[in-house]
Amino acid sequence: MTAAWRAIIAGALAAAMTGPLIAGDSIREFDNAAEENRYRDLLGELRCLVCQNQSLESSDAELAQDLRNEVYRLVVVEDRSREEAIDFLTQRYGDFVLYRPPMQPSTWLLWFGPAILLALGGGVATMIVRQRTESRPLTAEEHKRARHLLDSDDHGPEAR
Amino acid sequence: MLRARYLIPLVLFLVIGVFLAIGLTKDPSRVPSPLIGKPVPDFELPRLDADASRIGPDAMQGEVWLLNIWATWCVGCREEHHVLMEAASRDGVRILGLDYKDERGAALRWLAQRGDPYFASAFDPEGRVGIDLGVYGVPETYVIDAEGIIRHKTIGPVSMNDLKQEILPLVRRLQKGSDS
Repeated sequence: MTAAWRAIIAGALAAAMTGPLIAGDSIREFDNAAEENRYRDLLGELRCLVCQNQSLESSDAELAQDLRNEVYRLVVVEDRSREEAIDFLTQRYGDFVLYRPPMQPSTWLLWFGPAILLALGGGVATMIVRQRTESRPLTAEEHKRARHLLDSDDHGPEAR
Repeated sequence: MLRARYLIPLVLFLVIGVFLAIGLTKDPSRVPSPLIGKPVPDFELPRLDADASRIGPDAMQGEVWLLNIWATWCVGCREEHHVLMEAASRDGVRILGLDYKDERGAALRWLAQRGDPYFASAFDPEGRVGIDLGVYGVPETYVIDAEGIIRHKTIGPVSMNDLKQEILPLVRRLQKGSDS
């Protein structure tokens, strides 16, 4: 075994040992990939209430660890559906735990507001652009002024 | 006609300004509890001072009471401790403690040294009951009525002001309601 191989194996072992320690959780076991996906997917969708800009997946707060354990217990040990797990958490912590707020009258503005604003802004912008590009024949007075400007030797204010 | 159009940005600015000003007065770390108006989740935990006997909301049935989540590691609990002491001794409010994710020895020492405002404390070292209550920022204090319905929740330390302005008046009102 060469020195290079030894270094690679030592590195891999070190990584394997520190991984679970960094995560601060016990090692999870899954029966199948679907179960694991459901678990991972849920963690990414749920907000940690302590550090509110992190999901349960990325947060290292103690509460996040506890809630990861709960989610694991619900979807893996008790084999409950994604909706049941979400219900469990919203009953206790409110809709705030969801990164994706539910569609209901109080959140309509949140869901549709950006589209409405975009439509309004687009409408205003088209109106302005149309107004500006609207062409009409010049009046006699304007024609005279334009002719005068084109004919003069004046090359703008700096020439004066 | 033209003038009115120039006022639109000002009006928009004022509307947005008002909304942002309201937003500034709110603390995003205080998440409203969905449990308000619902029955307190039932639990039975070992008593902090006697492992063999159990305590839970059942022991408080028919009374207006406070449920206070505390721990010796929690700084806010130190801050509110004298307020709870006063609520219990002077105002006669019954408080059930929930010692959350704590060590029994340290918790018992804390109560012996600082005074014990609790009718009893339940011991929840794993924080399982905490999850059922939606606890995320210790200390938390719930006001629960005689029917076992959660009426109010304070997240973070209860100040003397909170006690006098909010909690005590609510407790008295609920007590009157249950007498009649």
